[in-house]
Amino acid sequence: MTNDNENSLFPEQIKNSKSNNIDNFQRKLKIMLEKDEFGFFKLKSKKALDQKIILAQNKIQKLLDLKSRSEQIHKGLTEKKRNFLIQNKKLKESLIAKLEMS
Amino acid sequence: MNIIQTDILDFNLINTDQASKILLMDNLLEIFSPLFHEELRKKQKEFSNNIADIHKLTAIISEFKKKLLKLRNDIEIESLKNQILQQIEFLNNIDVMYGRIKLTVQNVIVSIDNQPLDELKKRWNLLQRITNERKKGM
Repeated sequence: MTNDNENSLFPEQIKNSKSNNIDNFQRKLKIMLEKDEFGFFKLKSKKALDQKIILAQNKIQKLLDLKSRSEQIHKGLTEKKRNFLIQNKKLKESLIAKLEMS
Repeated sequence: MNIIQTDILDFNLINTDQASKILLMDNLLEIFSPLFHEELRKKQKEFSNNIADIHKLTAIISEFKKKLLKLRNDIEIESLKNQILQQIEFLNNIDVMYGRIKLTVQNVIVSIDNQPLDELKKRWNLLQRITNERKKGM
């Protein structure tokens, strides 16, 4: 479209023509952004990084679950050990008294 | 259509001329590309933080593993001590202990707190033998 042509058009037609151009340009720009063929926007790196972040977050969650389970087991075993220690101390003292060892 | 005006270029400059498109594209890249790069940098930092968290959690869990293994070993020892002491109590209840057997049992009681697992197992076996002999003699 030349300037002569533009001059022969009504202002509304010129406006529509420019709008079409912008529409076309936007469409092409959108495709270009999505494909990012030349890596201007690092979209491929970003997608790969997103995937890595998801995997890392899943791993963190699993480790947190494992930590929580470990804490519970540790608590239970500590209690069990404590009970044994108390019971053994009483039993030992009782046997020492019975066998007249003191 | 709503046209959003930016500082990049006046939309009135846009026409079919390829040079304008290239200029506009160049401007777009100049303006927006750093934003994408900034986002990428943020994500890289987030990923680095995630990796640091994984290392910290792995270290914590490794410590827990050591503690749990020690606790399991301690409980095994305490459990065997308990069995030994109950066995001695049983022996004492079935008959009066005297002489060498009484001395052996007393030694077991005195030394029970400082023995490793394998030594405790030896004492447990000894007590089992004594118990069997006592039962036979009854």
